[in-house]
Amino acid sequence: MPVVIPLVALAMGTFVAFWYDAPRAGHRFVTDLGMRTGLRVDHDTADLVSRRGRRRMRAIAMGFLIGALAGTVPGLVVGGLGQEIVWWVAGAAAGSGAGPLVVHVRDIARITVEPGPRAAVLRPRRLLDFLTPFELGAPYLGLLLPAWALVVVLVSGQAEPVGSAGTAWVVTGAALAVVVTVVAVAARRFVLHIAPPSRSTIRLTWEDAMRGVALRDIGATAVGTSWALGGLAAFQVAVTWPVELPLPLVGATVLIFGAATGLLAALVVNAEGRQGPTRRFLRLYDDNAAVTGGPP
Amino acid sequence: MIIEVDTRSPVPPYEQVRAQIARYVAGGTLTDGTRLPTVRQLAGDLGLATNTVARAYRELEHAGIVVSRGRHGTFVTDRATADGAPGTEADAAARAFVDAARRHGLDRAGAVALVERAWPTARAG
Repeated sequence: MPVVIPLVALAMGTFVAFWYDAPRAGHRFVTDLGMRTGLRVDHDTADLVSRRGRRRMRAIAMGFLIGALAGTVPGLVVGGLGQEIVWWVAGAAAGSGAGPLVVHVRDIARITVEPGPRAAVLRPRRLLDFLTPFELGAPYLGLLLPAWALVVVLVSGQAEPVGSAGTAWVVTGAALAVVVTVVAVAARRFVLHIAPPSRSTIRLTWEDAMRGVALRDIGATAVGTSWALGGLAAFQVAVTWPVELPLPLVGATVLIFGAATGLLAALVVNAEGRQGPTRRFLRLYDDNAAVTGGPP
Repeated sequence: MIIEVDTRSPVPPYEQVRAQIARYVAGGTLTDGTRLPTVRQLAGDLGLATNTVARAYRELEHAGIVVSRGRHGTFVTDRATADGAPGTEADAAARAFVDAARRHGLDRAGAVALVERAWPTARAG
């Protein structure tokens, strides 16, 4: 119980910091994305992207707060420092990913284009036009840890009967991780296909750039949430399992495996997302120079 | 590769879509085997009704420029890029000749006779 108060305070503090940083984050969204992609931009488009960036940051802040607060509830029910922290992290990760996804979809749905010229790319869109193969597979990678914890539960089922509290929390965490991954994969396909009608090529290219950001947000959310939930399961297995089984070894393996997998996935998703792969979607346009104003 | 549609134009949107794709194929920008976006994707991106894009694709298919392979998608056909296929340079030249023949009051038989007479003497290649 005592750890809940700092966790709630941390959630509130993070929310306030993100919320008030949103206007600056909106400007950064335009300049960062512009620099990374090299896209041409006009005043109207810069204004629109800035507003979308600001709303994205506020959605992250709100999602983080709601997710973290929701995550403290199971932690309170279960009790124990490890449980409270991992549920808090899982909730915050899920919330901070769901928020911008909702805002992205709502922003697109709200865009209406008056009669006149519209532009579109005459190419089928694929996820690989926006994500690296690693980013494409990252959500599935995040499932490795919960899956491993489930295997350990099944292997050691004699010592810890199915239906016991320990088993229930491992299975719950792993099942939630699967649900999060399935939702993330479906959300990526949905975001890939939705598009607002664009008046110009400039607007079209920026919509694709923002689509790339949304797709990477979804991937990072899935990895972060699954990693936390897998960490929960691993923590359960490693700490509370009967000691007569070689579970300290199994638990250590799970923790190390989870830390390595999650850290690697999170780092690559974030680091690569900030660099070259944001330009991947330019392959949809035959003449990069025409949309970026310079050579690729 | 960008496709543009102006909904204020007197040319119907389906015809604008059809003509641009045909032009891309005739110009060699879209080569045989190239997959086109789905009707739903293109309609959504352009803010048009699905039926509008579907009609453009249907007309392109009737002209032999594209072929629909069910759930695999719509592809540019190899016939479309062959000499004389709709949308190619030879096709455009034939249409221009027919227009000229009509302007000069020739009927179909007269126009064909002109071609027959010119064929042996015209320079090949």
